[in-house]
Amino acid sequence: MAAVTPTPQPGKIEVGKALWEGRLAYLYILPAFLIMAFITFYPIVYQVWMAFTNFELRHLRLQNPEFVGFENFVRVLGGLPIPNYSFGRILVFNIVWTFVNVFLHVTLGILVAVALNIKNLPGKRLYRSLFIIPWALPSLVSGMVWNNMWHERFGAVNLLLQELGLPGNIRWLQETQPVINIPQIGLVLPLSFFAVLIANVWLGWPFMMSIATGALQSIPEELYEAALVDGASGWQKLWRITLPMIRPAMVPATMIGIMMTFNQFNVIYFVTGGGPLGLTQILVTQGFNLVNQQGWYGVASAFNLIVFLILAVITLITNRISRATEPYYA
Amino acid sequence: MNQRLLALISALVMLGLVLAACGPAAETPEPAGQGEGEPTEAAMAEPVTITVWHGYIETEAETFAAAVDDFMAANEDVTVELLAVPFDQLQSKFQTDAAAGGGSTLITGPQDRMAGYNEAGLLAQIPDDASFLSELVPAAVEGGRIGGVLVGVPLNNKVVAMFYNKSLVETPPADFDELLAAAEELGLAITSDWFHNYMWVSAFGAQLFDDDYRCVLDETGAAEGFAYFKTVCDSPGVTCDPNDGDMDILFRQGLAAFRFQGPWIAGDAISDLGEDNVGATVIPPIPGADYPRTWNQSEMIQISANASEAEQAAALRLIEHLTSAEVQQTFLEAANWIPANQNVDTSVNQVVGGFLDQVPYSDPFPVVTELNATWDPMANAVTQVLEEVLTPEEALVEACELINTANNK
Repeated sequence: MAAVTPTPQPGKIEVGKALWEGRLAYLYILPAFLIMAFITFYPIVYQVWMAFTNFELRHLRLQNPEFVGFENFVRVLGGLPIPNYSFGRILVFNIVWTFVNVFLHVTLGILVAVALNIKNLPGKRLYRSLFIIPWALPSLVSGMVWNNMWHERFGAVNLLLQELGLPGNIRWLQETQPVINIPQIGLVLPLSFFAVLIANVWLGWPFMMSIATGALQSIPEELYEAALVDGASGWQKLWRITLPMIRPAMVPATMIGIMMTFNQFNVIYFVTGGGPLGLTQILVTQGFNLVNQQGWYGVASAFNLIVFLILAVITLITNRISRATEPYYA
Repeated sequence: MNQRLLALISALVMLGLVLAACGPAAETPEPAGQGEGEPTEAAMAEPVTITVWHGYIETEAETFAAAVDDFMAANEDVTVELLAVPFDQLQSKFQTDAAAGGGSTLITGPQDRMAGYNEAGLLAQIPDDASFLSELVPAAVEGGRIGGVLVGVPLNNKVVAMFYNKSLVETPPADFDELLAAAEELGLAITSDWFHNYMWVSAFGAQLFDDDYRCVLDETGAAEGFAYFKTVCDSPGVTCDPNDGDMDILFRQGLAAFRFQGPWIAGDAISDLGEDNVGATVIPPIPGADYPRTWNQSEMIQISANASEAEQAAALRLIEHLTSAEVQQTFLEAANWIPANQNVDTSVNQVVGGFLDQVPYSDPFPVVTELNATWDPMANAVTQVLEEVLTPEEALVEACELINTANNK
């Protein structure tokens, strides 16, 4: 019986060959990989480990934490002994906050970009420069400015209302009675939601306007001329030419907008602080409080891992719906 | 060839970085209760830089900085770097930084924060035989001990009393009915947090903790106290707001003639309203109840366990300077601090005199880690009651449940 010689597996050989041929490239990216390993991968792995322990402030210096399995995850989802904590309610608020904001950012951004794209519009460049200021300002600064503007006694908004003879004692950030309350889905929107929404829309639409402006510049003029010959109305040109043509640029920008707004820490933290009664808390500010105020590192790690999974799911769903990563012209 | 050389250099640089990162860390001194006694004289002779983190603003910050400047002028081998941190962020900043091996050499702050610092092993032991301790109020020094170990030295005493604007109020009201009647026209500013409003529950005979540090506000007369607090806030002329600084401004601008607050705003109020117009006195009794008893605590200065031997020695010298009768006299005159040094003559300062009158109507601050779990739930309970989200009874039951769960009681 003849000995059977093992047949070389083509896949393995090809991979090995490819690795060998790319050895110089791998060597070049090695420094970046090592740095990433220390400043990105190691903290992530460390956080995953912390999520399964009872890590608290005292463990930073003195003792080794104990392994607690999935207890932290159960506590995060079931309830923590801190006021106004409900993971479900915060998640619902966070989703509403994200999509209302992004809808307004994109809509306003496109509308203003289209308006500024009118030929021979006087002062076009000045407007574009002015409109970009909110985006150029650090969101921390904007957040603090808006917090002052909504102040009940000394805020610019109430003072302006008083000047106009209108009720100027509105408790923008402190009113606890909800404006919208849908208990069936755990959605409670107080007045401060609209205050912080205005602040974040002011902050967020210029980004979308910039993207839309760039995309508008690339639409061939011939398309509009052809539409004109065909007798298309302005509305039809917007729906049939402008929006489809800027879609490839706007969809990835919208995806980025969703992720940035979902985790928009600065605006929530500095405008409302999550109040009143925790009604404008989003997941990322709640996660921060678990560490900053409570010192519960293990719980906070579990909390943020859950948030990461939720954001990953939202990203996958929006990606599927918007086909953002598919080649548009394929 | 050049590419290979570049790749080799890159790899060597990265290897060097990795090896450097794997090197031994700087030695960490032992925390409180684990170290030896006083530092050696050799260490004291070396030039040393120490850092102090504090939460002072305006007059207090200026007075403290001036005292530190005087110290550096007299001790050229020591450089002191001050860092003002927002009061509400000071604790978490120090806890996090010190636990990671950094942080300041010295930290000032309310007495209750010591418990958390000490539990995390962040404080160095202060020698019991330090000579300057004998000049300080003995009870205040005892307040710096946790488990028998001295980890904090009192800088001053702090208690909430009633400020009044003398240009608007001739005689302070004798009781709360009179106060509310006067406030209708002149204004009363109250910070609606938990720290300032413990006094309502104490006035109605309630207590925060039992002997096992379990929250019992839901079992005693605290709901009655909170109900009265709600009545006060609903009275005309009374402003209740959680923003402490805003409420201070109302008093400092003459928009509210009365203010329940600690002595830390006295210097700023005097600079705004004039020395002759700022008075302080006991918070008047509530008809049908008792005097509201506010919390009484020392402001402590502590040494970080991360401080080296030389830094600890320099820190002790700075503490000795800050608690000396001469410097404490300056604190009294400029910042209206109630001195920790018992040799300071307080009779010259009428504002401080008002706070000293409040001391018999105050309760000692519980210096236990269990207190940390009360701040958020109780502040939330105050808001729920004032906003009529829950009744006082419901709010206190919910708060105590959260506190006791967090404290495993």
